[in-house]
Amino acid sequence: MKQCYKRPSFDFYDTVAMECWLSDLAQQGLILEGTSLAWFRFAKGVPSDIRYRVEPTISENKQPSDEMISTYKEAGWDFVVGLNGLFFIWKSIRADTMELHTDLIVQSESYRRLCKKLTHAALGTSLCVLGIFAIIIGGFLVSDRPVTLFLASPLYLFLAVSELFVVAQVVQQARSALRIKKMLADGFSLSHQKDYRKQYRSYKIISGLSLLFSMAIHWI
Amino acid sequence: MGNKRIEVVSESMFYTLMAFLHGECSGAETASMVERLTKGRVRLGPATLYTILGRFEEEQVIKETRTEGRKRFYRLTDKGIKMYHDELERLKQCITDATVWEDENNETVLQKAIF
Repeated sequence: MKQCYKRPSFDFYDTVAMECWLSDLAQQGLILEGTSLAWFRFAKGVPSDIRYRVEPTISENKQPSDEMISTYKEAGWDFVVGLNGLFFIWKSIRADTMELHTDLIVQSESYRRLCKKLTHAALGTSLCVLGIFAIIIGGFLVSDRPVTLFLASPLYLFLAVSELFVVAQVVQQARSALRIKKMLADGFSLSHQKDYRKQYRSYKIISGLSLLFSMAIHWI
Repeated sequence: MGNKRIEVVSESMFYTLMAFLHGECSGAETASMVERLTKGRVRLGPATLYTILGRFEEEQVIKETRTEGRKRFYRLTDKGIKMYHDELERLKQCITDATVWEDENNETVLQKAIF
């Protein structure tokens, strides 16, 4: 069977967008099989109606236990793949399958570990970037060169913009997960349907621009 | 990982605690017992079930006792028993408050109807 590789062009931690993207691809005949590095591997088959659920993991286990897989299967959900020990992806081909979650408070709890990890990552990255800036600016101050030279150098400018872009991304990821957790705790269920293409149009543009910017700096 | 206490005992959590009061059970047995206890009103989705079991185990509300093939069996700890009784007490208090409030309202409605 032919295979193809794709990767989402939106926030990786937006679980609802991921579910919709995978279902849309299944309708085009691309059925998720697994992952290879940062890419999703799809088998080319017949267009199918498949529901996907991207569930945050609740422990450090990279794979669900055999007991979990069999209980989920009895409820109509098949295990597809685990993502970086942060998510398990499940799929169902039956329209009448019971939802994976039947309690919003408990579902909110399932995001606890993910939120904590992403918040730590956002704080750690921000501190690292601050540290890098402090070292660079400190270097200018010590050498008695004007700090404004920092902005005149394409290399430093590229470093500054790309570092800030990374910080913005990790903060956005943590905010996405925290927003979902809070929404569930407040009693609002996930719709599992989302116009992710429209929502992430700007995300694509920003990613494209940052790539162009990197290339431009490289040429300079 | 640092623990944050379970702040809210949801309906599913409460019935899971209730299912474990009978003694040791596995995840699947817990789900079917909750469905039987509530005559099908409360059903635990598989992710709800395993999130509850994971959180309860992490908070030492339940403890794994043995494994049998794929199945893992758990029982309530003293902390779990206390959690169940505390929640039961809270729910009983809610019922008492609601009953008193309803009776008072009924009296007021009756008085208004008389006068």
